[in-house]
Amino acid sequence: MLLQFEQVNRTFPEQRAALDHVSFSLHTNEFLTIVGPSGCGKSTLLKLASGLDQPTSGRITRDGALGASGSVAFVFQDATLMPWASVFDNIWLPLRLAGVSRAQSVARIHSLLDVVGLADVAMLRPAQLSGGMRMRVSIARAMVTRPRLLLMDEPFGSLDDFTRKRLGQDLLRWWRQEKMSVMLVTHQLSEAVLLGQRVIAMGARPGRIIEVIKVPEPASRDQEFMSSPFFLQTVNRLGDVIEADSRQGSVR
Amino acid sequence: MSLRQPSALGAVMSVGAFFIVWEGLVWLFELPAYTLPAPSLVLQTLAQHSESLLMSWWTTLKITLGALTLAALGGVVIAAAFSLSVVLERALFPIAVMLQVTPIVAIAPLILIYLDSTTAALLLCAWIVAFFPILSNTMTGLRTIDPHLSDLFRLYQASGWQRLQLLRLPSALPYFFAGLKISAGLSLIGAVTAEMVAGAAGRETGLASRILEASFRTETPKMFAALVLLVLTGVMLHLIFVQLSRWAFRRWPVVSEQEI
Repeated sequence: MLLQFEQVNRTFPEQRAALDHVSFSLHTNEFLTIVGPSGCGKSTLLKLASGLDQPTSGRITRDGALGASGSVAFVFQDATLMPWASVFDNIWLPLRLAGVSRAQSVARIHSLLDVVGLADVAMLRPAQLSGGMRMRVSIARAMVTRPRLLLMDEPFGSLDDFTRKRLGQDLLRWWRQEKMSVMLVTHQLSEAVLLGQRVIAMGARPGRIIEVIKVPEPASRDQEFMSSPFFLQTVNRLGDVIEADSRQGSVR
Repeated sequence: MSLRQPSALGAVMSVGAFFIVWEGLVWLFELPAYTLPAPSLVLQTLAQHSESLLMSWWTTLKITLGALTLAALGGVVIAAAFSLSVVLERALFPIAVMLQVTPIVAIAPLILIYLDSTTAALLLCAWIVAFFPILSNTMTGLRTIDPHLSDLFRLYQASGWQRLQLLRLPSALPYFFAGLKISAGLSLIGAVTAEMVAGAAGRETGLASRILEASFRTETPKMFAALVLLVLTGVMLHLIFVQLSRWAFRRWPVVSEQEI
């Protein structure tokens, strides 16, 4: 067990609860996806998981391994790169903040640049890259410290469908190679089922868990998987559950 | 951009037309040179007195650039100190505002009394006028940080110094350059104003002294000649800093032209 939420509440002043009695746990090396409509507290959930935010009540238990700097990484919807720094320097940042020199980081950064397919653009600035490439830099930066937990807040939300699919497949590969747990927030049902070993569906106002689905392994996670009856049924069911919940919500 | 910044050709044409009309009016109404000299006479005077005028120009330029350099250094260091300590900011920022709102002509005589060296007094006067835009712009820049990048620095447990060096100072750079452009013009104004107050005579004095001298003798063409040098200097400084900030930000278009 890497991370455990027990009856976690998070409220903000002058707002309905962002998170209402949320309980779940994340296993070591698990790929967990979280799907739900906007306003369901997905981003709040990630911030709490990262330790950047604290719950109003309830308990979050972290594995001791998550205490060290660099053990938790965050990828935002926009790549969030430093516009003044090269691709290389952007990826170096987490190591640099931990006091690792440029020379000591070179090998790790170059191998990561190869992994994410950016070896040719190491010295370019973010503005000279496409959206998909910027997101690759952002993910490489997150992986540079070999984190135990990678948190992703709609990382592919602003990319076109083609780039989105390719990055999704790449992410699965990197996840298997790097041996880390991933919590990925998305508002696309198919993406959630395609990537996640478990899918948590959330409802809005207040944000809470309404359904958890386990994807039976082994799943091929490819085009074939996406046309399997299980995949289609699961996506439909999740859609129905979330739809029904939001209809109830408008009555509430 | 093309709307806000007329092309070089357009600028040359409009300025040229202005001088032609001026020349024509002087000729048409037969205005005496001590009232309004024609541009041709001003140029002639400039050539005639080129040695003393250029020497004075050099003196004024040295004060201007010296004050601007000190304003840039001082503005950034003070802004950085303020950003690290709220107490310091609360205590000292009002003084910076007081310096900014008091007309420099009113403070200059005092500074000239307190400081023995006229050069130092002139530098200080020009600095007081020039440093505020750099200070306040850099302060704004240091506060205007991408909240997600800020979260990232927190996640990786960055120290206050790392945050300043790797995040806040680079983020503030476009704002600093915007301040620098304003301050370049202001340091010239500050230098000339202080020179006016100092009113010193002799060869080692700036263009303001030449203007004062010429005005005592009603040498209007010479006053205009000095003025031409001042205008050219101001325009030159402005263009240099526009180009400099373009070059500095050529590869990060996150900053709109308007901001720079």
